[in-house]
Amino acid sequence: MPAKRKIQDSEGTGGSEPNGRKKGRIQEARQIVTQVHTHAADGSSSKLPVSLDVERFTDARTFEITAMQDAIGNARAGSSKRSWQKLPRRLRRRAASHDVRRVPVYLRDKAKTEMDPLHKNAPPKSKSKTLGKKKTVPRTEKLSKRQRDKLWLETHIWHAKRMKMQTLWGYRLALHPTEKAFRSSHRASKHGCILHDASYHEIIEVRGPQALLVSLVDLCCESSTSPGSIRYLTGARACEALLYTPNSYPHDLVGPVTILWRPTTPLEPIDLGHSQRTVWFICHPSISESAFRGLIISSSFVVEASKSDNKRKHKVEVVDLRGKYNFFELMGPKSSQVIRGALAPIFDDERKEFDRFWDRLQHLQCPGGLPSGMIIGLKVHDPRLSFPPANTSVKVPKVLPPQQSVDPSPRLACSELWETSCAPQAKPRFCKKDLDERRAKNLIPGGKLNPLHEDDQVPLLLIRYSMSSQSGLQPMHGWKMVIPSGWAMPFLTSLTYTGTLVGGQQQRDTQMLEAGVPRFPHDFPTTEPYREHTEAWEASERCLWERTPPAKRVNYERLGIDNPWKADWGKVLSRCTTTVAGYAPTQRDVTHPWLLNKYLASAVLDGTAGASDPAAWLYAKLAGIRLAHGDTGLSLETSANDLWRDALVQVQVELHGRGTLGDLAAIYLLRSDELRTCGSSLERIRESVELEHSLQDVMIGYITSGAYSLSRGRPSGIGTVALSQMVGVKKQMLAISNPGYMVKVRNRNSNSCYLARIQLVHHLN
Amino acid sequence: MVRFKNRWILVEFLPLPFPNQQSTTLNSKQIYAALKQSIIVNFGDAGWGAVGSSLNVKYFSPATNICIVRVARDPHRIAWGAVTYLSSIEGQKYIPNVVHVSGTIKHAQLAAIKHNREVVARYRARSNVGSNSYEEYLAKSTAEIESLQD
Repeated sequence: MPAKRKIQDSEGTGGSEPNGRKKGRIQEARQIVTQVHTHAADGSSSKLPVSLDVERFTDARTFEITAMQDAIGNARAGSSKRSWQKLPRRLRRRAASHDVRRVPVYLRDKAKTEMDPLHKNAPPKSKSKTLGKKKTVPRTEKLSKRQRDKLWLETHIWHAKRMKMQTLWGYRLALHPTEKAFRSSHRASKHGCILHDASYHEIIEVRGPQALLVSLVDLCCESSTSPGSIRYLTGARACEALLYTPNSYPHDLVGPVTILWRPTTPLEPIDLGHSQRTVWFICHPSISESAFRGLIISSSFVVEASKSDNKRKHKVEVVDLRGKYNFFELMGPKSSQVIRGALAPIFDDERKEFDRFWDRLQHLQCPGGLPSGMIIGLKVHDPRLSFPPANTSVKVPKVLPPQQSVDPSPRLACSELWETSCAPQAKPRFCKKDLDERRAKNLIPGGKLNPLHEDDQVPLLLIRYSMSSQSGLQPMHGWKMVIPSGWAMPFLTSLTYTGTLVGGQQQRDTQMLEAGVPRFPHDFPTTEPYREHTEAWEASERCLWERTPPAKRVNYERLGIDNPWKADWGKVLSRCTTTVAGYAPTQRDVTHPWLLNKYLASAVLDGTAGASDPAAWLYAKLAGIRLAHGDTGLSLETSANDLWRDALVQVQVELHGRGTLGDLAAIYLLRSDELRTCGSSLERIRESVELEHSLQDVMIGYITSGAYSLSRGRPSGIGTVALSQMVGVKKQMLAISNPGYMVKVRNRNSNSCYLARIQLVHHLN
Repeated sequence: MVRFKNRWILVEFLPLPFPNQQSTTLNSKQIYAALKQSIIVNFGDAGWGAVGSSLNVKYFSPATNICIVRVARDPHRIAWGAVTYLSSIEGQKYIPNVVHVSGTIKHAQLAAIKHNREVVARYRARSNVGSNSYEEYLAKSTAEIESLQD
């Protein structure tokens, strides 16, 4: 063994260091290892001196060369870097400065030398009274005390160590990572993979005969095609729909839901109306209670309607499956490879479609290659058995195999996950300690565990999920994974091991903004969660503004803004002019705003723009839709003019030139003189056109969320405008023969306006 | 701010072995003592007073006889001269060969590496052993072992 030289402290060397620690560190690092003669003791080997023995000569020189090189490397690192600086930022811990155990094993020796020597003259610490075993509060009890007013997700502790948390909608959720993550998470969603724990979404299950369920779903939900149509009825696809309170369409929008039908087994044909079916409604936690109530009302309505038809008693059950399932959202092109690498599915001979799908998953360069909403049901082995996982790489075959298309089918979507809704929550059978003991018994260290008979087989669902809109040209594609409760942590560790980033609410919001998709509840102005959210935001912002001295804050009075923290929809809606002759435009105090959903938006805009009496056209259209839903016709109380005037529609906004999109920026119509300057040569405008705000400007809406979009390179956002004003914009643009819609946007803190392009948020079939 | 500048002297001690003399392994302390004596003898007490506080033998390898000595910059020529005048350590005769003098230890280490490589290359070229020495030795020893087994 080569011996290390002792450091010789020279007497009174120059270079006084402030503390002996750094000197000791540098000297430690500067040691050069020397070779010790092992043959010096015994005289039996050759008596020739070292320099004449060839092998020993070269050996000694080689050793010295390596020792010198190591010393050079260590010296540079030893004086300038600490041991934990060799770790990536996400593995560094604050306690590493005083606790050696917080640093990985291979760095512990180095960390020990760098540590401060214990202060010998410090006063001794009094030994704290440690509670005995009887009095210690168990950890579960300690943690459950913090969960009295809010719910923790299963992955809470993992997230709490790495993310900033906030209580939202009754859950403690992650907002954003503590490290800098804005650009890396954007890159991950565009080119890599980013995971979001969406287990705060809640499932409501509805069980009953198929005919009743179809009419229930048609009654309260609206989607591009009817959620009860054959497309979704088989259970092969998930339907993204908007839930309304029954009997008050188009008012009282509850919120967006995802509808999953339980897949039919091949033996049962679809046509039978009396076959028992199950539907899942996956909804946001802020609307789960109102959705539950709405579904109960709809189910009673539907059962009442069916009683009159025949004598048989039908029953529709509505069950709240809160906390029974976890959701993971994986977005990004590499998400398919991450899933394929982390999961070990159990293959079945009967399901050839699944084999083909699993094979196809490997060649998928982007999840967008598979149809949106496609459901795949599978069963996997415990992910901890095959830990650590490795991502598969995309293999694009040189010769394309014969078209073995993977289509959505009810057989592919079959999963045992549906059966667990009735069963009590089953925890994983083996804890990590048991599996580690098993792994220790392996003959070859570091090998993976073979699944045994006793090991768990976890059923799960994969849903092909997209954030996309017709207007946003940057869709985000990914997967949604539905797993039973108790399994979130094993799957999370496997999925994140290969470098998948994990994001919080802010990352999800950024993804939706880049995709041009309105996010719930911030961009849905007429819903209850929006009202709650904006009231809370208004209170905090107003408080902040009032605390600020007048010289340092924006003077909203001077800018002519009455309430800078709340959108005044009444003001937006009362500006429109009615087109029915004989009615003068009046400013009404009471407005009942309603949101025109994205499935109808483009058709309604075209229709009302072309019609001579838009109010009547709209009334007829909505009445027709209500009847198609199986609802009663529009009540006589709602007048056509009110409906036409109170309609709001979501738009996607992009600034044309310079400027920023702040919160609650106001959207105005372009005046005629501005139209003349801007409208003629919109394509040739490179710099921003200086637009000023005047009191005659007609406000048509607000920006509900705006930010700088990295993928577009310009500020963009989502806003809400009055439908009638949108028609006005369309007419303006037709007059100057411009294909797009141009408006101007003014932030709350200034008088200058920026030219912007808006587009309807609409969903084409 | 005043900086304390050093000089790092890379020395190789080439032994002059006598026929009836045992090769004793040296120590850095022995080299230090010999250097001190050499300075006192050749440069007197004034010389030792100038050098002595900063003199330090930082590295010595008995296998290769390479030594790195640190001195302050101002009197480094005294120490250099003393190294050159050093003719014997612990009774055994050596020829000191100062290979390199530099301001940092890093360059002294790099110079040591370079010197080692040159020496080995020179040795191999002169001895005409080439790269076959190890293979020949291995072949010879395996043949001996196999003959033993039979």
